[in-house]
Amino acid sequence: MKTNKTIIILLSCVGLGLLSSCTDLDEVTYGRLSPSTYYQNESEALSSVVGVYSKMSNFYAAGGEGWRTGEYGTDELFCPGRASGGWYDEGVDQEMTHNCTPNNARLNSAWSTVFQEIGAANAVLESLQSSPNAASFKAMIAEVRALRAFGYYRAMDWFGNVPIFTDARVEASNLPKTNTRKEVYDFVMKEFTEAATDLPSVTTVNRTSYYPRFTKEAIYTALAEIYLNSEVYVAENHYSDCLTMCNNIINTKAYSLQPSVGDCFLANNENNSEVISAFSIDPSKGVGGNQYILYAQPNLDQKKYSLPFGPANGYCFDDTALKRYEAGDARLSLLEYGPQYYQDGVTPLCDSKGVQLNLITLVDATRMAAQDNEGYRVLKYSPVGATFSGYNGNNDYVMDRYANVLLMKAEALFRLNQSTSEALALVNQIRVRSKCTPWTELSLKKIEEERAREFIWEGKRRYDMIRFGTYFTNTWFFKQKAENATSDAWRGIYPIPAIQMTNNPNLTQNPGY
Amino acid sequence: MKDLRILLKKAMLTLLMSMLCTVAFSQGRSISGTVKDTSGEPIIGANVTVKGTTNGTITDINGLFKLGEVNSRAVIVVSFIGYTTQEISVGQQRSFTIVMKEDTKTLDEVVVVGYGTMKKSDLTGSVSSLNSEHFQVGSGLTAEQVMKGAFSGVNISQNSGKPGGSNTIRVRGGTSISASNEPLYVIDGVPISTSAGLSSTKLNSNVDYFDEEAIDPLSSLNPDDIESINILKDASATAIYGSRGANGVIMITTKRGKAGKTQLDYSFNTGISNATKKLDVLTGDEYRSAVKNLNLTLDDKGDNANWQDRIERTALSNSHFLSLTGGSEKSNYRASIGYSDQQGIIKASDVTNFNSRINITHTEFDGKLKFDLNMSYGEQNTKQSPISNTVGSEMGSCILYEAYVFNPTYPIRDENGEYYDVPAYRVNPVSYTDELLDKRKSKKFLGNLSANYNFMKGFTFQVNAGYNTNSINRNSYISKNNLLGNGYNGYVSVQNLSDWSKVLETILKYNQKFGKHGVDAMAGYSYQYFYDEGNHESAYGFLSDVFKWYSIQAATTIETPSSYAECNKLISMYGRVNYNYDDRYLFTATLRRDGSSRFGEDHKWGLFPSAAFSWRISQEKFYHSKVVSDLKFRASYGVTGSQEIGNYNSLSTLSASSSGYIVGGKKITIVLPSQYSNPDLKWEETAQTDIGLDFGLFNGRIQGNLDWYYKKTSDLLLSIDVPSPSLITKQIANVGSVRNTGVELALNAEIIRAKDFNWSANVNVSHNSNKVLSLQNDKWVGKDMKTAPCQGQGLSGQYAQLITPGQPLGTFYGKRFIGYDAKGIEQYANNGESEVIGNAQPDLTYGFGTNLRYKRWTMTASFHGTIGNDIYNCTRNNLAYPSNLPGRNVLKEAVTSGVSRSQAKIFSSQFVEDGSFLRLDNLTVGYEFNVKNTFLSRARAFVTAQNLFCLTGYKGLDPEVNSEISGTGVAPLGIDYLSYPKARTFSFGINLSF
Repeated sequence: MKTNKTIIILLSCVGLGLLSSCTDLDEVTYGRLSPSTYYQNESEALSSVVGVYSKMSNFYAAGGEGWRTGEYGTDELFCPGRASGGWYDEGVDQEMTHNCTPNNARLNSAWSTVFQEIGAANAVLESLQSSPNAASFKAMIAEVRALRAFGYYRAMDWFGNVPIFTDARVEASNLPKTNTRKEVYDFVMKEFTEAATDLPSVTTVNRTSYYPRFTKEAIYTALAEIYLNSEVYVAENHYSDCLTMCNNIINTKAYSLQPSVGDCFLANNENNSEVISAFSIDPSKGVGGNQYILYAQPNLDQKKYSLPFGPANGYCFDDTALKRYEAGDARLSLLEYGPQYYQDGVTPLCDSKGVQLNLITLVDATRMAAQDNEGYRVLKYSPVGATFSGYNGNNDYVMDRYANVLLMKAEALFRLNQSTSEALALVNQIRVRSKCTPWTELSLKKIEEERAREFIWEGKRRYDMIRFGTYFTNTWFFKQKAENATSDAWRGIYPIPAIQMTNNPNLTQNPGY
Repeated sequence: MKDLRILLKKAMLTLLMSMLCTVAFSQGRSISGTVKDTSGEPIIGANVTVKGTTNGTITDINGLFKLGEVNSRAVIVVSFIGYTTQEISVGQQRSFTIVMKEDTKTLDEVVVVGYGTMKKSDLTGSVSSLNSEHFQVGSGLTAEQVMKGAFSGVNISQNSGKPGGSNTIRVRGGTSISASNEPLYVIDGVPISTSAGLSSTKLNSNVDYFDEEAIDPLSSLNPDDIESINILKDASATAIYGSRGANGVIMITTKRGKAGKTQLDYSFNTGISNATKKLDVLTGDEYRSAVKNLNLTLDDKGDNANWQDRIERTALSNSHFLSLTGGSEKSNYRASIGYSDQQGIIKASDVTNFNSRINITHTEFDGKLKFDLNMSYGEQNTKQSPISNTVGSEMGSCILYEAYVFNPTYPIRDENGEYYDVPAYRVNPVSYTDELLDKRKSKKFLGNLSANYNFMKGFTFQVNAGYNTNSINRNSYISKNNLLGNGYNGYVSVQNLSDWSKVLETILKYNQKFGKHGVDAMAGYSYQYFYDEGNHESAYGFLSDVFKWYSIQAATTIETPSSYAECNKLISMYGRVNYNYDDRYLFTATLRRDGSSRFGEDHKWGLFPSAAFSWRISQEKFYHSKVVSDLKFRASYGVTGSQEIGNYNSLSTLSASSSGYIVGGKKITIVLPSQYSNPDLKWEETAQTDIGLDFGLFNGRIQGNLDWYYKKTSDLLLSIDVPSPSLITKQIANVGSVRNTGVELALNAEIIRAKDFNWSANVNVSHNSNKVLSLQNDKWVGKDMKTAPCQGQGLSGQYAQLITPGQPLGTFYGKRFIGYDAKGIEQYANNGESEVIGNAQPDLTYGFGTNLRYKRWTMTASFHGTIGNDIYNCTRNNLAYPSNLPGRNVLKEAVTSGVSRSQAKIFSSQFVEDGSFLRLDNLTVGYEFNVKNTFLSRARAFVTAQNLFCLTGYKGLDPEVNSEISGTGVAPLGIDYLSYPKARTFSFGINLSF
């Protein structure tokens, strides 16, 4: 019938219309950028470069496996399980007793921290270099190369034989292969040296507005450090190169020692005259958070410093490190040991039962149930003057400071048998700053101990101990009770984590593991 | 002349008389009658209506009915469940005796399949169905609880005992590893999205005390509104849903209106619940002596507490349901409102549900044009207990964790009335109930309109339009003085998520019989668009707890807010042909072409075919069995897909993060690559073969189905670890394959069918064997994937499950424990090398139920259970070690088993326990009142016990558990960590009809 026919035609028209117009499957994204259209100007490039800085700041955080991988296994940082609950971790225990296995979860976390930063650097570098404006990004490209070299420096220091990989994407057809420590060393040195040429010097930038990006001198400090450790890394003597680098920094006359070591770690430590390189922290703006107070201090410090939170009583050290300080050393004020008082120094700091907190050395042999008052604490990042958001303080992380340059130069001179009087003067500069009596002669042991006193908990002790050999030969509390009192030489580098080897069959395990 | 006049007079008189008579006859008059069954018994409650009007009634206890105003041209329609509907012309009759014949109901029973309905006898695929007669109206259950144990091959387990909690549903075994294993839900023909609500699970890694379970996707569906649930299991049934059918399709149809007398139904239910089990941790006195024996410092406040008792309570629940149905032959409607309020057995947790629905059907042109309008709106408000399943680090905690480990010698409050905490970590469990708030409000609206026009003989044209929107609002607050706030001084988190989807379908159907040949075909087009967005704000530092999330501006610090938006589209063309020869040989073929915006550039479109054949052996001339009255053989094969891979995973993107970096005192937002492109990304494909047998014994008194199936899923979506150094650590790619094969058996029997006594029973048993076949493609090789990270202080870094070729999904992999040595140190087989120590997949899942009726009394009971599955008791793994003392309380076995204090916590076979169980889910006894001569047409009262008992050897709280320890919103199988305890509920209810 006519009505039916009309309806059929109408409906089929509608149907056909729908069919032809609605086969569009293009994706509509909301708020996501595409790498092919980004990186048109400097501020866009900077937004990714600071992303790599942010990842590298993880190398210095109190939690996570950046900083403490350079401290566990030494005689100055322990983290035993507490009787009141918490903190015991099998991975940490292995590190403290030099007994690591490839299944160590903490080491895998350390690996990921470092290689995530390297991966970020690779990705950003590739984008910057392929951008049409690459020529205007020269300094930023150098920054990113330096950031990547720092990552490889850590990886080489901790794991030795790691893969060098510079592509942004890791494809199954092109998996990274293990390189020898020497190859990684050469790569790091080359990258640092080339990056340093394109970076501005501290004397040419506006220090306030450029902080905390890398200057030439920041790279020179890293180079000096690596040269100093070259005998460990590649069995080559580079002390004269170390000397050259130190002199490059000293000759800028841009740095000087602060009246006290603690000044470098205050909340307003930006543009400090001693700090050479640092990382921005400001939790109120969503930029990281300094949790050293949270991790290390005893709970009663909440009352002592009027903190909004109770610290968690984790990291500590014992008599081995404390006994290195002479009476009157100003650096003792950065440590907490013995009976504790409020900031006035007179009122005893007591718990709810009225018992004064008395920090003693470590006693617990099982490493699983230390009492709350066992272990001394380091208070470098001071809560005085800091603004806390939750338990995050706003003290910037210090990567390196001028005191290290002076001590490195002194050690280099000493090892080269050159100008021991100049070496002595440099060391005494450090000692006098901290109100210690100046020395009249030097020895390697003295240099090692001065470095230990100066840089306690700054992430330098592990490679210092390896360089001086004490990592393997000395015994201290935890190591005495462990299965091996002295450590084999191959324990100088950590094992490649088993999960990484499962994910990438091209990797080879380090000797001994 | 005179004769003519007489003739005329006579004619006029006759005409007048007949007119009078006609008038008299055409006026309404009353009719009455009796309705009986074939054995002469009266049928009570049969519907008798005048066709085309609302004039109707129901038969009384003697089967009698009376109708007034009935025209002689009228037709009365007599109908009753289980009997063939009859239509009788009234004519001159006033008194009727109507004999109703039983429906051999199961054979003519109609099941809902994709895009249509079919008679069960014509089915070629494997479909399980459940009708509303089996649901207890007003019982206070959720839709999933109603389905539990009722379908063969479908395993439904509650993830925890939390009120309003989610369930894990697996149809014929799980196949996906990284993608979701959820079946597709189709409500009244509209496929709904189930990924909404997953984002609300993870708040912030700094505040991991809060609940991380996803929202139940059927939370706004009141089971009292459900007419039938049909689960499509094999490829022939699910392939019509193409790239979404691989995990099975659950088709839910809601109740329609009925022509006839308007009926008002009301149900009420009230109940009390209590926890079924508590963990055996040390009491105060036992703790005291244990700590003293180990020579540890004892912090003793003198009390002898069981903290689990202190945080639990007897919970009350009640629910109301009201529905109104009515209408005529031409149009009918059903409107309903339901409200329920259920407290949780942990203090300060509860859920209230409100749902409303209206379904209207209207027909024109003598039934040729039909409109269906369904709209439903539901709201669920939950006050959640802070139960986190990822409590791991020293600083993490949640209410259940504290209830187990808090010092049992402490009273709840100190002498100042403040909650006792043990700084730095131990937070008073009771303080969570009023100092931590977590409120979640979820609103769902589902509406669809469909028009069916039978424009020519055999042809019908259908247009469907559907719209579905969900919104979730989650507000959380930590009070100023609670230890968990630790320096925040009041912490607030506000999260808003919303998503909506629209679907438009046009379908052409053809249905015609030519002698012995019957053809039923359809072809259609569908366009579905999904959009979702969300934002999250958090802030801290408040002067007073009064502000909470009502005045975020009062906070001293507002953390950087975040937001997101996504959309995806699905365009499909599909068709199906059913060919029926002489009701003996049936063939079905379906084909669907799906295009999804989620797939990579190179694979946007996919083809999903299926074919099936079934043979009704009992219809053959040579078939003469009296015992096996019905026998049908089925075979099918098809390909379906799964596209639950998330959006935009094939594109290369950069994204801005909420953290930044400061240069020169100014903050710069960080922008880094977040994903690399994968143009090869496509759907997971499942090819399934099914061979089945449907049979009926003793003329339908017993019927059953037996199925064997083989499913192979390839191109599995896997989130692969990208090896270092890669900024982006995970990449989604199609890698690997899994197979599931199994057998299902379902039996229904009407054992006794007498006048005063009925007894029927049903049982279903399924066995599924799951195996991972490979984890590699030509680009990637995955070998052993560790999943299910162990949670708890001291256990982090260990993984409980392993995915590896040759083993099923859910394989537990770890050290095999063989005992303690003299010093109390754990000893393992093979020097502690890891091996397969268990499996979360059951060997057998089963359910059975029974239904008895004696005169006015009814009793139903339903059971379900599993055999052979293992559960990793992560709670026990944490609490069975004395190294926790004295800072944390432990289980009794920590001091009695002989383990040493210097033994660290290790994941081993000790904690992988047998999770086989048998549970009496529901036991109901009801009574039908005699409502003759009252204004009520029906009154029934019942008492119900839910979860009356559970037989199991599992040492944890309950063997049905899937704790969400992965932090992704999708729980791994068979892990128990701090799960919300299950309750036993006793309730009383009434059903009234007016």
